[in-house]
Amino acid sequence: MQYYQPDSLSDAVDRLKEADEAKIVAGGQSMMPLLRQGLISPDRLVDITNIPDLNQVTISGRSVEIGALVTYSELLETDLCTELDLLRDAIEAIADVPVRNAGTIGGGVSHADPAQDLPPALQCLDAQVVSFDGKETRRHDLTEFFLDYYLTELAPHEIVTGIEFEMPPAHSGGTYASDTEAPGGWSTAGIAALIIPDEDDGETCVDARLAYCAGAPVPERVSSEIEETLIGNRIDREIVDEVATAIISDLELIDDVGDDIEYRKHLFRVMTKRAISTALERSEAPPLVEASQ
Amino acid sequence: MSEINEITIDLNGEEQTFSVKPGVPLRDAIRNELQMTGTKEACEVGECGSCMTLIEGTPVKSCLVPAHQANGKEVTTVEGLADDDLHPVQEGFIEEFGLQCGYCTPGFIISSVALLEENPNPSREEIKQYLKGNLCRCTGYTKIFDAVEHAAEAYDE
Repeated sequence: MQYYQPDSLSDAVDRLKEADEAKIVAGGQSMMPLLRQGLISPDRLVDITNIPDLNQVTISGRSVEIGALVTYSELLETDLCTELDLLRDAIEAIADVPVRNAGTIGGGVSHADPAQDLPPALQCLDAQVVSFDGKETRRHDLTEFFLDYYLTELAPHEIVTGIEFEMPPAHSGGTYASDTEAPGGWSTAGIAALIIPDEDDGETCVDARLAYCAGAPVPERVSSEIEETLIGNRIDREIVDEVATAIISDLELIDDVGDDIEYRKHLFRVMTKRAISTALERSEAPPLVEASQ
Repeated sequence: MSEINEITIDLNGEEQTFSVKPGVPLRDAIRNELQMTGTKEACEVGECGSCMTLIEGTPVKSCLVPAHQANGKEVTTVEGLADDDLHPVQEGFIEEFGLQCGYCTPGFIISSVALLEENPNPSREEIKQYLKGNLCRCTGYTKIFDAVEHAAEAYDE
């Protein structure tokens, strides 16, 4: 195996193209276990951590650009995470401090593990993944970026350079709720919620975005039909129950050594209710009430 | 840039230049190439924290970091904490009996040093959250948390 640390994006793409089977390494938090366990055996590692300008967080008006090499810990330290509960909650759910110190946002989305905590939050923010293939910069909607387990739209020599999204309105509320079998472990059920109430009346939900991880082969935005259940009304417990039930039927759960399907459904029901309720509390809409008569 | 085969790290204040194979984790380089075995190996996949190491003062799981990424950087292992006296965190672990078999102890000590450098007066909850990346299979955590609180008192003085 060869190891290269290119100092430009174009050099990195060239190094990827000229090898039979090359892999990109950034923070190493996903790549190293795969190497260690013999699940992959590339003939070349292209370490992109020396490429300049990929470690910046830029906020311009409502537009946010996060460089691919920004670590989760660095992102937590920014004003962005003070302002965006949704993003902060999702990052704090990722493993533990040392993993967040090394793991990068670009590495996470490229790895495409279906149980990763951050993608659902980014999907609720309508985020786009920015990539470079040596010739052009491409933008991918994060809702369509993941194709299957550990598989994305990226070409073999294409490098994720960052994530972009627009800040949601200040009167919106968001959160990420998840359950894990052990502290720092992978999530067994995770759901992100962003609720946007009407700016004038303060209580009618005008936009609602939900996305989950660990419930299907890819992190997924909940279908628009289900999200629309929340829109147009003041959200009450009956509506939340309806949405939680609908999401359960949408999942593609599997039995594994951790939990069986029925228990996972229960977890998703609880996490969905928790996420919508917390998102509502954090918005300027009034908190959750019983169904109106 | 050409292929990299040799790296230089400042390990516990001493510059070391050595060859390391691509894809080898920093932990293996420290243990096998530099013969510093205080950094332990256990789970291999970044769950247990036995291999916790500071790179430029930041705690990372050294089984998950390619050795090449430490090139040109300061690396601190448990061997680098004591000078003539033990580090306050090491004293804390002794005073509070924060260990049984002791295998996880170097990792816990490295994480605790990083925590106290960042926050010399952590709450019990902050200690728990910060040490979430370290696992102990025999002591339980109460004595370990006591040890960190003990060390924090020394930081305050």
